[in-house]
Amino acid sequence: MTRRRVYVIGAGQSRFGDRPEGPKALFREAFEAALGSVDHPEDFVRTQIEEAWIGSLGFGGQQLGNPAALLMEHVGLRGISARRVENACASSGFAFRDAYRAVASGAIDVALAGGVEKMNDLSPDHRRYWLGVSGDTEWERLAGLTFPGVYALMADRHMHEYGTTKEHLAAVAVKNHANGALNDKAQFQKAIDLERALAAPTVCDPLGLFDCCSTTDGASAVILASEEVAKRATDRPVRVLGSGAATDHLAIHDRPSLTAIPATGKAFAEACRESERDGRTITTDDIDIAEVHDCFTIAEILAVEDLGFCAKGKGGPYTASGATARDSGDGPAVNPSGGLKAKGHPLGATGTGQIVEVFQQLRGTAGERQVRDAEVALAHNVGGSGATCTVHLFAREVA
Amino acid sequence: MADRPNSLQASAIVLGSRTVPVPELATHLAAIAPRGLTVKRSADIDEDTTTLAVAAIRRLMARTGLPAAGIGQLFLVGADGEDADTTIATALGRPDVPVSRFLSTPEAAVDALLVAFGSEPAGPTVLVAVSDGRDGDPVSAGAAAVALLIGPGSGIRLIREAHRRVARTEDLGTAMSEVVAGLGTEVEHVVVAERLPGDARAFRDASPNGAVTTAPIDRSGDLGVATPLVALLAGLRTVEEGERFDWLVPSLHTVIGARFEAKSTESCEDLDAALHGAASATDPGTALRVRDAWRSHGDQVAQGAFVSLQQYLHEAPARYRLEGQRCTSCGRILFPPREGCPDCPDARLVVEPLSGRGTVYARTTIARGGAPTEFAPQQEAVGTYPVAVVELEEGPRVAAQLTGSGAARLEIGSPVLAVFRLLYVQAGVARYGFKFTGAMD
Repeated sequence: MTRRRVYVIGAGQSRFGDRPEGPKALFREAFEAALGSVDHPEDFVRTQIEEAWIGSLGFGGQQLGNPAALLMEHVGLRGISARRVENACASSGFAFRDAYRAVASGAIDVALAGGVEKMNDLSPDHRRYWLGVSGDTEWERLAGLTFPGVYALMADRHMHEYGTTKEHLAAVAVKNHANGALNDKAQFQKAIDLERALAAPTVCDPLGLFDCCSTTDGASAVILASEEVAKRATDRPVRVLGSGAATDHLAIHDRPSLTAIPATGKAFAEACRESERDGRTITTDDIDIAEVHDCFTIAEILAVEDLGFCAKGKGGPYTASGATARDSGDGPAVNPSGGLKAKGHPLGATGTGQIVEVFQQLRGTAGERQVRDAEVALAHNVGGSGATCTVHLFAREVA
Repeated sequence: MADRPNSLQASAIVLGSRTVPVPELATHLAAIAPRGLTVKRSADIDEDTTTLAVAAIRRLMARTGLPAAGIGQLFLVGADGEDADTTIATALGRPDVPVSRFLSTPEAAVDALLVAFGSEPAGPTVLVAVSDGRDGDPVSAGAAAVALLIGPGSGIRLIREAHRRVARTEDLGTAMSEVVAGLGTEVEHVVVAERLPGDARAFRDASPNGAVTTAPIDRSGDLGVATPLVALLAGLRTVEEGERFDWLVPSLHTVIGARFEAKSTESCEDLDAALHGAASATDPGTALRVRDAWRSHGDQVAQGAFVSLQQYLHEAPARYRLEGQRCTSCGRILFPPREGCPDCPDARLVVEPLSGRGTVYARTTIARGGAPTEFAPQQEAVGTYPVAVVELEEGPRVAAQLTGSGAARLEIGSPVLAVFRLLYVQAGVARYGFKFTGAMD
């Protein structure tokens, strides 16, 4: 079957953070930003959107059933086919993949992928409860673990096997906070220094407060279109080069290794194969920007290793060397948006939120945090501790 | 009275794994501390009468080589948790074993022992008397479980028993000496299961002949329903093989006595051995928080991301005693149980018991904010707790908490052993499962 080319023609997000508004308002904010980013509004109207995929964990249980229909009616899309997509923190990465495949297959011409999560209006007890619903609830959780604990175990093992240090972990936080400081949509817009990161209270040893992302309210929306629609709607199309996705053991103890997330490598390889079939070979060296899933600092270290930016086990020193900072010249800019760490992690909104950053960077509209000459970018979205993962590849295309 | 068909053949004692400083605790509670007692054992946050009973029985089985299949019946004294009989039987791998539950009183522990000596089930009786001290006054009640193996064959024989009610106005010492007289010709050794300091002195005053051993409550504190049996084992240590000795259990309303003939006591573990075991020192405030930890959670309603009780109990063989699986095609050992082998999806899986021995593969410590809701009471009581991924010696790995006095020192590579513990209480129901302790503890 021939696969049609698919383009992102619009992408936007709400401000991430501690927001008083509900999911409807947050999603509307993101949707309007996405619609507003389309170059030629006279040639593109919202009613061209035929179908929608909305990622959300349903944190807090609020409107757990049927949220997609509700969101559609509040953005002027009442009536179209829509559904919630749930794969924990990778929900909207998978929502994007499904939307992409629908357009690529020729079934539809315009799709909406997005996500929304509201996490900060719960009591601490309620929040702790919901933070533990996406790991293995039958065994892992009954050991008293939630994700900080699971990632701490991965960090402990990484330190043991490769000599990774707390300073290496903190370097991820320092870099991402520096990027977040330049992002007016980020939850945390303040730089931190290494000393402050290291002095933070321990959450789950060896992870301290600055090794963990926060709980975040937010929404994101991405409009995907066929080549024909994209040509009319935009002068600066961003092409989806390939989509990859994978699953793995849910429980951390069932994985052969604690120091890798194999689903990452698998999804990346699939995305590369897809691009290759379309005549464009992509290797890690081609990646200018990588928005990776840094829910914890160790997760970014695992991501840069599993994506092949550095050798296995070297993610700590590699990050601490500054290679992944913006415009370092030594490697891709990793998480120029600030990442989940600083920009925030509204679970279901994160995957398409990463694509918002990629879209802006590849179109040169990222403002102060703009990465120079960015042509190829990657978005890497992980569910849980690696049970689900998507990787998407994008390229700037001259119209 | 004719000799009973059975004899006492072995024993094991397990104490609560925390120590509490008694004088400081008494000060904390504005109570009067028992004289001379500096520390006592108390149950840890993850111990209760059910887990202590299981620990004592497993220890008895390990000491004697008695297989679970060999147990004829179980007598439980003090294991008063709802469904404790089912939980304990399941944890031992004998859900079918006949279980008799006795009242949770020291007198009931004596009754259970005497009944066991005369009972003739298909196999030996395992009697366990247990107190976690959790609901009692923490100054006086300590945590201990005594497991006894009683069956046909040679061992300590019960010769005779006597008992008598004591009126409120009567002198306890006189009542005790009358009970001893009822046991026949005076013997040299008498052991008094003191519940209050001075019980033994009262007997000595009324009956000055012979050597009197007191139960070691001066070293352990009152151990609740376990006290009479701990005293019996202490008495055994004082006599030579073939000698007879009397055991006296005084209480407010009765005095019970029994005469035994000692055999080799090598297979009998007594309090001294148990007191040498490792324990974590606890301050009085923590001791009281541990005591109260689960109380307010009786009516806490489960919120949803939990394993239903029905499913949990269905999985009890794996959760209580690490029953794993073996793939009949590739031979790989699997744990926790799966619906299929990861490598051979169509192969049949068969039950494979696991040893519970393993090594720490990775570890962390969960600080406040990092725990799921159901573990919040544990954190409120004892603060942080360690969690590990443990690599079992049969191959599979599993996530579990680390517990016991040495838990903080365990690191990657440390050898560990699975123990049966209370995980949390939800909607009034205790959930049990395994944790790991240092294998050297």
